[in-house]
Amino acid sequence: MNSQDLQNLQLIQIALERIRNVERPLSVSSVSPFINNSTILSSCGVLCLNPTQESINQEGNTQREKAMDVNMLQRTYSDLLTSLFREGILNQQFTELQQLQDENNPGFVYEVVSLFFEDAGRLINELISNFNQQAVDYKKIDAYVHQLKGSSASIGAEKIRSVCQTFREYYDKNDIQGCYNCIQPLNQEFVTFKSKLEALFTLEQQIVAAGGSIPMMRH
Amino acid sequence: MVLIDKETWSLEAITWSNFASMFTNSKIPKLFILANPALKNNSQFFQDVNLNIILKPLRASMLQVSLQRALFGGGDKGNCRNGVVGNLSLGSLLQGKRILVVDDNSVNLRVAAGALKKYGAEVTCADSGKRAIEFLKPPHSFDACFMDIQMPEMDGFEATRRIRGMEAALNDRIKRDEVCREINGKVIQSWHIPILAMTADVIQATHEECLKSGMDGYVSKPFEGEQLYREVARFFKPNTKLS
Repeated sequence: MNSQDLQNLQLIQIALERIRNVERPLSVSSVSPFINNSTILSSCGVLCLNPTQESINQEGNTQREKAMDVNMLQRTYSDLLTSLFREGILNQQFTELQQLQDENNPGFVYEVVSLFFEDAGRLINELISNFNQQAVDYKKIDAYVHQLKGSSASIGAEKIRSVCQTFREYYDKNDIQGCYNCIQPLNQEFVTFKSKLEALFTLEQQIVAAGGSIPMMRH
Repeated sequence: MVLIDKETWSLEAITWSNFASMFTNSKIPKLFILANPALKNNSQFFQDVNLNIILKPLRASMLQVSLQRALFGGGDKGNCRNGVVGNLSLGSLLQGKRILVVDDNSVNLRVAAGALKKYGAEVTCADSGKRAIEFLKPPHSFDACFMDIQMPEMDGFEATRRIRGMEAALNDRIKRDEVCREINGKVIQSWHIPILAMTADVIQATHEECLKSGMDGYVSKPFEGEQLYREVARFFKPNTKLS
């Protein structure tokens, strides 16, 4: 390829980077069997076809296989993320968090969600042990649930937030049985949330390790 | 996304249409064709509306606009458009501003700080009313404070009352010329830091109590873009040149 083509590629990269910073478009993994410097393309996720060139070389084949692996990982990631929104496990606030992540703040979502795992895990343990006591301190329990409601709302953990809301409504009506019935679902939702988000992060790591980029969802 | 330099292909115009229709029938990938404007003489090619054509020589700004428009649509009123405008507007208000965020919950603190930092603010975090009072005892260099209302040891209302008390005491002394008005090169006639309550449950009673305790307003938790902008715009003027 000539220098003009290279320059064009660089311009494409610049434009895509600008868009990525603002819009985060859906991106495909890079396949560049015909171009020596594939780092330009792989960094902005561009698929280039240049069929006037000669036959595909060996490097091309391996690149294509790797690209397929990355594609599959990306599709699994997108499917998982979409299902989390569809099932109401995540809400729009999670998307807001993803938009706060950028090159200045690369691991933001992972950091905040990990913080939540710790925080919520601790709160739920307190809830469960408090409920198992002889004299249940409901005021204390309400305070814990209030904390959990706040932090789950902050990260978009919709189902958890919703159960906390239900608990609060029973508490306001002095419905002890209603309150009690929320604890098990709260724990269950947290366990589900944790395992799904951990799966999501694992996929992210795998995609990046394979040289791909994380697909951004648009809702 | 697929970008093809037309000159490298030897497809005839009619085959281009067939090729392009493969892409228009599915949402992704999007097809972009890089073409030489001299080809405008080939009117059939250029009039095919299914083709996203970007003219050469390439310019990054044109590429950005064309790609954005094709990918996200001109009439897209979704997050992207609002996000771009909103981010720019809040950015012009908050860029370089020193903000104290107070919340006893570390997750909320991290998320609120992250949002404000995104718009260019310098954020300091405090995890209690007591810490907030330490930070906001004048003189200090904060431009605004976001304060959680419900905190265990000292709630947001009480913390704000005490801060206003400290400010009032200092302002008295300023009036009586007992102290210097200048701090960090700025002349401050009277201390009043804008304090916005952060609240998950926004009800009328809360609003009244906010104002009674000396707060300047409230925002919901987690932040909602337009409301945040509205409240912040009451204290900060837009910066036309961002440093």
